[in-house]
Parts: sequence; structure tokens; C-alpha cells
Amino acid sequence: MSIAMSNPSTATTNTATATPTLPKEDDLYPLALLMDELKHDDIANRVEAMKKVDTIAIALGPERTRDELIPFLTEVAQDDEDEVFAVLAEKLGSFVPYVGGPKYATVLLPPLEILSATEETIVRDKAVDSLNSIAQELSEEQIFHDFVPLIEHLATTEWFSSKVSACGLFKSVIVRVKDDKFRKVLLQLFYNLVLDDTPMVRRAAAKNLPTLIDLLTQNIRLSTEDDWEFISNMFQKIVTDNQDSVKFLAVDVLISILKFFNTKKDYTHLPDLLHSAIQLITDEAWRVRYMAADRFIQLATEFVEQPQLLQQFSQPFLSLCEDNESDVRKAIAKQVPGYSKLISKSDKTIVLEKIFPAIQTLSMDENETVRTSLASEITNMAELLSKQECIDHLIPILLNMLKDECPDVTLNIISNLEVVNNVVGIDILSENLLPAITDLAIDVNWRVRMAIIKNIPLLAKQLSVQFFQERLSNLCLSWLWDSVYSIRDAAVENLTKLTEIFGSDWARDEIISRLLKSKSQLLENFVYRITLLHALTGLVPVVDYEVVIDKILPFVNHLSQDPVPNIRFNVAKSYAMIVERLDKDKYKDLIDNTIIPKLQELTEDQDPDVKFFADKSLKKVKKLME
Amino acid sequence: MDVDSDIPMHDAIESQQQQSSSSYNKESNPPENNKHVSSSSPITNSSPSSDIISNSIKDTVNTSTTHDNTQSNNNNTTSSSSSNINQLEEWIEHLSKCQILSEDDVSRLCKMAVDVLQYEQNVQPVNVPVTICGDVHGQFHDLMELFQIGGPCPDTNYLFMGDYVDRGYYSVETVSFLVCMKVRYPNRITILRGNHESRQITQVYGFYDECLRKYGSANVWKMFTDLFDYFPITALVDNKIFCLHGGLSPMIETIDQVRELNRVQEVPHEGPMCDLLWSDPDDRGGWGISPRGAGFTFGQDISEQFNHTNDLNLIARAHQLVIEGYAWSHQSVVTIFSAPNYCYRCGNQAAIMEVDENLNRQFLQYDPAVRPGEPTVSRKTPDYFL
Amino acid sequence: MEQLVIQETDYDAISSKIACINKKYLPDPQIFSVYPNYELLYNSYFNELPKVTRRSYNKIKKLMSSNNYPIMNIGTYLRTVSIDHVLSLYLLPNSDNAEKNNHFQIINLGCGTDLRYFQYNHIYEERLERYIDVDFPMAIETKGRVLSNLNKKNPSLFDLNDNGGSTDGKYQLMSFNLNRNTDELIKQLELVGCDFSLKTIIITECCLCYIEDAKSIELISKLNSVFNAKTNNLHWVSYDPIGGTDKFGQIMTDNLLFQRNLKLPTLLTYNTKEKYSKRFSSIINSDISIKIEDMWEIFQTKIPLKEKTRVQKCEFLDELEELKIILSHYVILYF
Repeated sequence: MSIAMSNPSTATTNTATATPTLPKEDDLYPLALLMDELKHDDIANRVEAMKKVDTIAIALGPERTRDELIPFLTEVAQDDEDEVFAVLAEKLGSFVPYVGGPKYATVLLPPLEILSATEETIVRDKAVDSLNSIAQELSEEQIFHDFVPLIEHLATTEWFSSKVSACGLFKSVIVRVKDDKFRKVLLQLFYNLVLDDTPMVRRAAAKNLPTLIDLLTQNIRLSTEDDWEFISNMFQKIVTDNQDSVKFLAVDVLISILKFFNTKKDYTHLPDLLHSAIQLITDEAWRVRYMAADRFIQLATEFVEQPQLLQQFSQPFLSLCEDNESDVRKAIAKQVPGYSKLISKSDKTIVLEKIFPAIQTLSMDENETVRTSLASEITNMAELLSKQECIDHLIPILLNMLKDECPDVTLNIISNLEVVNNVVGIDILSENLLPAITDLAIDVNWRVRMAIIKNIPLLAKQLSVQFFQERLSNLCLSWLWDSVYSIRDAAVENLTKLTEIFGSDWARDEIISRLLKSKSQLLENFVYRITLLHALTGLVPVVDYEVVIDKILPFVNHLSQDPVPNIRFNVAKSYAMIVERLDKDKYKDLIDNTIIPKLQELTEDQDPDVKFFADKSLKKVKKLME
Repeated sequence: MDVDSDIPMHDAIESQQQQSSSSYNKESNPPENNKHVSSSSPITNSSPSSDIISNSIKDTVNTSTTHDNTQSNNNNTTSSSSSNINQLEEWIEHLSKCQILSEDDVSRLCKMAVDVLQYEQNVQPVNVPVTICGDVHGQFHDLMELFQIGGPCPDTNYLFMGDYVDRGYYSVETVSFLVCMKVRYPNRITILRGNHESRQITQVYGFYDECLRKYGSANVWKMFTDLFDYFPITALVDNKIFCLHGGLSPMIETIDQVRELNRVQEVPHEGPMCDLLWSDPDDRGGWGISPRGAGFTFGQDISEQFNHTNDLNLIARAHQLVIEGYAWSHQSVVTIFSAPNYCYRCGNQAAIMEVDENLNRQFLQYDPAVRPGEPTVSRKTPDYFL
Repeated sequence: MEQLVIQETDYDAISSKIACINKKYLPDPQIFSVYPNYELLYNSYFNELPKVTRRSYNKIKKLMSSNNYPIMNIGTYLRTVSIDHVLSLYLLPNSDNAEKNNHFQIINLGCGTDLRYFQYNHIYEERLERYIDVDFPMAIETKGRVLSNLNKKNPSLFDLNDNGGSTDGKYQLMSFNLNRNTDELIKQLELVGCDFSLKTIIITECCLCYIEDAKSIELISKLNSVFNAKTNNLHWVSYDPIGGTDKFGQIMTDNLLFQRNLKLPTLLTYNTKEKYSKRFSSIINSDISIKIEDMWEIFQTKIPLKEKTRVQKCEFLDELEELKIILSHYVILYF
């Protein structure tokens, strides 16, 4: 690769004003080194070198960076591999200070323009990001003279990747341009991209359009009727595109347009826009309907000031609930409570009469992802209902979903019962809750078992102690013996949390005494012993002193003689935790006469890890006792 | 989960009775075949074999101290090593986030590791309880999943049977992590050598390239492959379970013969050390030519004879991909494979084998961890025929 | 865009092939004995490629420099020799069939950078009446340019015209997007001189797997009827992945989609040999027997011991179980 150092491709050298300096040996050195590394056959070297390009720039100083480094990098940008380009594209974004500040920042545009035209998406994206970040620092003059022409070049080439990049750059200029005529020129340019032959370009344009509109919304007084005519035409083009993958982007565009007019308090276009919305919601292409379903609440919210218009969403909403495509039903299922909330302000009856039947059907959908999606939101319906309405309409559905064969469905219901509890209390569900929980507790997938354990404390707060005791405490203990470590660990944490809720006495009577009565046969297994030790140690911070002294400490003492070193060093850790918990004055004798000697003994253990942890604990205990 | 006890356990019960009375004292009695280490060569075997000491790491080892006979590894308890401990814990913390150590740190780690590993034996004695694991092959996130299933070290004791590198995308992190754990907790984790812990194989199957990519040079590769020479090649759990990466060798009838080998060398192309790391059990009886081009295949008659001669219950090994994570051969040989969805392509489960104080065994099977996306610009090696 | 993604699979194919040749798996002795220029052919092509398109070359070079595992080399070897072997069976001179003196034509759909034409032209000479390479326009254009450059440098090896096709019209490079209507394809074939009554072998090597189900059925049935209108003169050799009944297929689908945005629409539909076979058997004449084998079967049973030993000596293969899994998911179908 030829390095044309003597002929920089950008004419930024200002020889008249530059003070000539004799290049010193070590001034040349970093650049020469970089050049060498960047010619290396091995791409790993070239990537590493490129990562240091900013330090080179600092070493060279702004003038030489502009005059020598940037032209050199521009050459590199034309002939190397994607990994190198990606690093370069990213680095250039922060180069403004290295070239001498915003005044000179435009010198960075040529290499980035080249990089925005490459095939590899990651490189292009980074180049576009860098260009946008540099644009923030450019003056209006520079935007006009340099940045916009760059966009124009990219937007009018043959090669599709340049055009795609161009789409991402408009947002940096659209509101910087105060001149109406000029903004019109820009919008015309963007419009051409919306009309482009290549779907990829149209897609990129459609994707970026909402951002442009939002920027105009933020600068509400800036745009003119003419601008909006363009935008309306763009929207129409996108909405009628023959490629689903472009058409479905119209939804976000519509939302942005709605936001604009609502911010401006111009409601004259709303009926037309409603019509467009309904068209999209009922489009024949499933991807479009899917997007509309996913954004349903966002769309409907824009009409909340106009109840008659808002009501027209209900029928389309219901048809989405019955859509042929499971992905669409899955998306709309999530929106049910949100939309119901919006509509119930003006028309509550529709919620009970029309929406609930639809929910019922969704809850029995043949596709489990649909049911799972519904389950993640459905309990929020409780907020909209009276207690009786909840019992009549929502509870039966929840009861049913708790019997679902798919664990994610039941999990999602159980994880979100708090809101139901606030309205009706969850005892009403408890008969069905229990089988659901026990099924999840023994699911083959350990992460499902984990998820249900994590929900237990929250449930415990909402259920009566009695119910919990009768039905769930065995389960909570049984998790301690799960074959997967993470479950056993979660079970220990669970018991600690439950103790915080139900109190020390409960823990002493229901948990600790049962644990200590474990069959000796079980205790022959190391895993059981260590889990038991962890469980009891975990309870130390949350139970009364007497429980620690009478119940837990003797067990720990017993294990200090355990044949397995792993137990012994955990015993050492437990002692420190016990001392931390106890009242140091009240129990000084106990600590001095029992705990410290035992720790001392352990510091002389044969096993180095036992020694290590015993030493550590002993130090800690002694410090605590001071 | 599988609780497996189809092998008659009367041996285990007898030894348990012995154990429970004397197991506490176990620690203070020297393991049966403790080496008396001379200062001239790092590994002492009964035959004064010509050691191949040809590189700098091995040279620096000769300054190591002689040991008393209590344990194979007890030189980390002096206060001068507390800074070592802090350093190791820092490295472990760093590595557990799947971040590589610097080249300098790797160099220091490897020097510390030689200090530990050179005193281990060809047949490293391991106490129960222990969890035995198979190939990991650079699948770092699945290694972390393994610890979620089996419990963290040091609370749980582990024995890994080799093949930490190659094929997966995180060989560097994987092997660094396990070596770090070994140096920090030498009594809690044992790492054996697999056939991939070799200079030749790692140049073909990915570890070399990964080192080059992540460090810009082959130095780290060299440090690790030099270190691999010191890894013990087999382990004996409670004198009853013989653990090794590959399988048996026609030149090895007794475990004592393994003890006599010189292991501190590159894995040879043939011979007993090669066989132990390359052989496979087979349905056919007797010895057979291995389709791998190294090692042999061995039949049920061979493994039964070996177990009988050496008074073993079981041979545990790895080396072969098995769809369900573990598989029995010959009723007394079990293959354990701990890399789920091998090469991110095969769809297999992984497994580990938990052995308790009474030599009861339980297999735990698991699936791959949810992997974070790997955003790279370049295409990876063609994984499929397209 | 999808076109580009599918086209890029050709880079994988050629990089695997070149790696295979470098490591001496290919050419196998049988191919070598009838076509000694095999290595020269592919290496010349590969060296000329960067002068025509730096972008593709870089991509291929990158693919190659990231280590090509022994498994990939064995799989590529098997893919190549099994197709060549089947073709040679169909092209054995039929002693009692004097019709057109045993002439035939080959159509390679989704040919990519495959260079079989030169091999077969050399071996069968005038018996090969026509060889038509069909692929996406961009791929054919590049191939044409590379070949025409090569022709200038080494006319004896290549003997082509300026478009890369052969001067006598025997070798045709045809741009055609196979997702278009098959009737169009047939028209185009006619235009380049395809003789529908001549014995024809259609090759689809990792081609059908990228085509939607309905489209692939249309392709097969229309080609079947136009070639078999008068006599049973059509042979077809198809090599593709199948999803299998284990997790392999789903993982392959996810991997390719996520890493490369590449879709294989029928991988999980025709996921067994039976189902893959049925796609053809439900269309073609029922008294034609369709054979189908997977690459593992071929590796175990169809490669002669001496050759198998030679192959296994090329490189140290450590991953037998994995080899079995991956090879069992690639099939060759022929009739």
C-alpha cells in the first residue's frame, strides 16, 4: 500500500500561517512506527496499532495530526480490512480535540465519508455515529459548507451502503438549518431516499424518519407547511411500500407524526391519522400488524384527548387479539391492561363486555408464547376493577392460567400477584396457587425452580402464616436438598428472608428444629452437612441471640471436628459470623471460652485452607472483641 | 438428575468404615507414594529418567525448596505468600468476568503454577468428596454454569480431567481461570492433562490462534504449553476411582507403572503416556488400532482386568463427546463430557459426577449457559458446509 | 440483501476447497489420474480472483487464515468425491445405447466458483455436449471475468472466450436468480443451447437448501417434466444439509441466522433422508429409483480402505464423535 504523505488528499495545510518546525527524531518516530505496524501482514498487529492512533495524535500535536496523520488514515480507510476500519471509525469520533478543536474538525470528514460507504455494517454504523458526534461540535457554517455536502455525496451515489449511511446523518442537521428553503432541500433529499429502488435504503430511511420528526417536534416552531407536506408524502410512500420490511416501519413514523401535532395542539389532522392507524392495524402483512400491536398503547395514547376517536380503536384491538399470526397475538396480549386503562376512562363497559372475553380466549391460546406474554401483564387488570368485578371476571382466568402446563405462564402469574393482592387478597387463589407452585418447584429446568424460589418471600408476605406453614414450609425445606447447587443456595437465602418476615420464633420452631432433626443417614453425605451449615449460618443474622447460642452454635461446634476439610473451613467462617451477630459484652465469656479456642484449634489444622480461613476469622473476631 | 449406584458398593462400605474412624487423620499421614523431592530435578521418579528440561520456566524451577513429607502441596501458607493470595484472588475475580490477564500476569501465574504442579504426582491422590468433570474446551460460560450446578470451589472439591483449551472461543480465559484456582486452592482442585494440552494439537485446534488474537504474539501460548508439561496425567480418588483423560495402555498393567513414567514432556506420539491421554473404550474385546491415529481402543476384558489388578471400582475418563453428558462403557468405565453444545453446534448435554465420602456417585446433567452475543466484524471459521 | 448473504456461502465453499487441496486431501487419486491439472486449476483461479474483486478475495483469505479444522477438510473432501463418484456412474458409456454416442450435458444450479466444467471437459471431451453454470448475476459476472483473465494467461488450460464461456459454446455461464419463475429458467436454458432430449445431469450442491419449499418443488417438477418429456433422460445429484431429529438442525438454523443472517428454509422440513428423498420421489416417475446417503455412511462404508487411510493421514483428526454428528447431517441424493 502506498502512503502518500507528501500529497495529503485534503487541502487543509495552511502553510502560510504554520510555524515551520524541524521534525525531531522522536517526533517522526511515532508516526513512522504506526505506519509500519499498519502495513503489517498480520491483521492483529494492524488492529492493535489502530487502537493506539489517538495516542499518536497527541504525540504529534494538532497541526501534524491534521497535516500528516489524517491524510494517512484517509488512505488506510480506502484499503484495509473491516476489523481495522471498525477501530478507525470509532476512534475518529473523538478526534476533534486532537486536530485542534471544532475550528478544524471538518478535516475528519473525508476519512469518515469513505468509511460510511463500506459494506460491513458494523464499520458503517460506527462511522455514522462518529460523524454525528463530530457534527455536534461544528458551527452552522461548517454544517452548511461541509457536513451537508457530505450527506449529499453519500445520498446520491450508486452504492446502496452509502445511501444507508446517509439516512443516519440527517438527524444532525435537520434542526441546525434555520433557513426554510434549505431545510426543504434536505427533506427533498431524504424523500428521494424513501423512494429509493433498494429496499435496504428505504428501510434505513423509514427507520430514521421518526427521529427527524421528533427533532422537529422538539423545535416546534421551526417547521413549515411545506415541510409537513413532504413528511406526509414520505409517510404515504412508506405505508404503501411493497416490502413488508419497510411498511412496518410506518407505525413508528405515524406515532412521531401524532406526537408532533399533539404537541402543537393541532387536532385537525387527527381523523386522517386515525384512519392511517387503523389501516396499519388491519394491514394484510402480518409484520405490519405485529408492529402496530406492539406499539398499540403508544398509538392509542395520542388520541386520548378525543374519546370518540379513541373508541374507534377498540374493534381493531379485538381483531388483533384474534389475529391468525401468533406473533401478533403475542404482541397485543402484552398491551391488554394498558389499553384497557386508556379506554376505561371513557367507556368502562367495553372492558368487561368485550375485552375480558378476548382475554379469556387469549388465556387458552394454543400457542404457549402468547399465553406467556398475556401472563406477564394480565394481573395488572386488577387495578381497573372493583373487588367484585375482579372476583367475577379476573380471578377465574387467573385460576385457569395457574394450571397451565407451560412453566413460564404460571411463573409470570405468580411473579405479579401483588397487584391482585391489593384488590382482593390472594387467599382466594391459594387453592390453585399451591399445585402451581409445587409443579414449578420440581420442574426439570433448574432455572424455573430458581424463579419460583425467588418469588416465595413476596408470596409469603401476602399469604397468612398459617397457610404458608401448612402448605409451603415443607417445600422450602426440600429445596435445600436439590441436586443443583444454585437451588440449594437460593433455598438458604429464601429461609433467611422468610425469617425476616415471620420472625425468629417461627424460624426456631419450624425451621431450625426440623433441620437439626435431620436423619443421621442424610448427614453422612457431605453435601447435606455443608448445606445445613450454610442454612444455619445464614439464619444467624436474623434470629435472636438465644437461638444462636442454644441451637446453632452447638451444631457448628460439632462440625468443627468434621473429617472433611471443606466443612471445617466453613465452620471457621461461621464462627466469625456468629461473633458478629452476638452482643459482645453479654456473651464475652462464651466467645472467649468456646469460640476463640475452637478457632485457635482450627488455625493449627493440617489442611492449609482450614488454616487460612481460621486465621482470617480469628483476626476478625479478635478485632470485633476490642 | 441421575443417582447412579449400579456398581456393587460393598467395597465402598468397607472402606467407609475405615474412613470414618481414620479420615480425620488422613490428612496427617502422608499419601502412600509421596515423592522425596531432590533439588536437582523437579519430578522424582524411581527411575532416573532423562528429563527434558529445555526452557526457561523449567530452569527457574530448580531453585525450589525440598519438602517435608506431610503433603504434596503445603508451601503456600507462609506469610510471604499472603500477597500471593491477594494477587490470586484479584486474578480470579478478574477472570470470572471473562476478562483475560495481562501477559505479565500470565507469566507470573505460570511460574507460581509450576511451583505447585511439579510436586504433584503422575497418579495424584485425591480425597472424597469430589466432583469429577470432563472436557471443557474453552467454553468459559459453560464452565461458569458448571460451577452453578456443582457449587463453587473451594466449598466443593473438583477434579478436571483435561482438555481445557481448543475449539471454544474462550480457551485463554478458561485455562487461566482453572490454573489460578489450582494455585489458590491446590488441595481443593485437581487439574489433569488432556490430549489437547499439547503444543502440536493447540496449533491445529484453535488455542494458538486465540492467543495470537488476544495477545498479539505467541508468548502466552508458549507459557501455557510449557506449563502443561507439569500437569499430572492421572488421579486416584480414594484408591478406588482411577481418573484420566483418555484410557488404558497396553504397556501399563499397574498403577505403579504410571508412577514410573516421566511426564514432564510434550505429549509423545506413541507410548504409554500418549495412550493414557488418547485411548478410547470400545465394544470389541482386546486392544485395537485407534481411528484417532494415537492411543488404542480397549475392550471390556482389558478394563475389567485392570480394575481387578489394581483393586479399583471404576475408571473415570473424558475425551469423547457423549450426547447425554456421560455414558457407561464396560460397566466399569464412565465417560464424562462437560462441554454442552460442543463447538456451539453439536447439541449435546454436559455432565459432572459427584462422589461423596462414601464413594456414592451422582451424575448431574446440564445444558449450555445462555451465551452473551459475540459481536465481531469478521466471519468465524466456516462451521458448516455451505 | 439476502442474495448477497447466500452468495457469500460460496466463499466458504471455495476457501474450504482450497484448504483441502493445500492439505492434500484433494484431488483424490482417482480424480488425479484422469485430471492431473486439478490443483493447478483451483490455485490459478484462486490467485486470479483478487485482481478482479479485492473485496471477495479478502473475505476468502480471511476465511482461510482462520484455521480450517480437519473436520472441515474431511467433510469438503467427502462432498467433492461423492458428487464426482456419482457423476462418473451416470457417465459410464452405455455400450448398447448408440443414441447420440453417449453424449450428455450438465447443468450446475447455484454453481458458485465450482470448476467442474474443466475437469469434465478434459475427461469426456466430445461426449460432454454442454455444461451450463447457473448462479446469481453478480457471481456469474465475477466468475466470467476471472476465467477470461485466466484464459489469456493459460489458453491451453482454459480455452475460453471473453465472457468466460468456451469458444465452441459448450461451456455457458448463465446469470439467473433461481427464485424467479422456473419457466423463465427453462427459456434461458433453451437460449444457450440446452437440448432437452439429451441425457442431462443436474447438480444442486448446497443450492436447494437456500430456496423456499414451494419454489424448490416448482423447480424440481418443471425441470423434471421438460427434461423427461420424451424419455427418462434426467439425472439429478443433490447435496444438502438436513436438520436431523436431534438438536443439531435447530442450532444450525439459529447460528447461521444470528451470525450471518443466512436462512435455510427447508432444513427442518426435510430433516431426514426419507423426507428429503420424498420431495423428489413425489414428483418424478415412480419407477426411477432414488438413492440417498449421508456423508458419515459414505465415509464409513463407501471409501475404500486404502483411500481412507490416505485421507486420515493428511491431518491429525481428534474429533471423531463430532465428525460423525456433522457428517450425518449432510446427504447426497441421486437418481
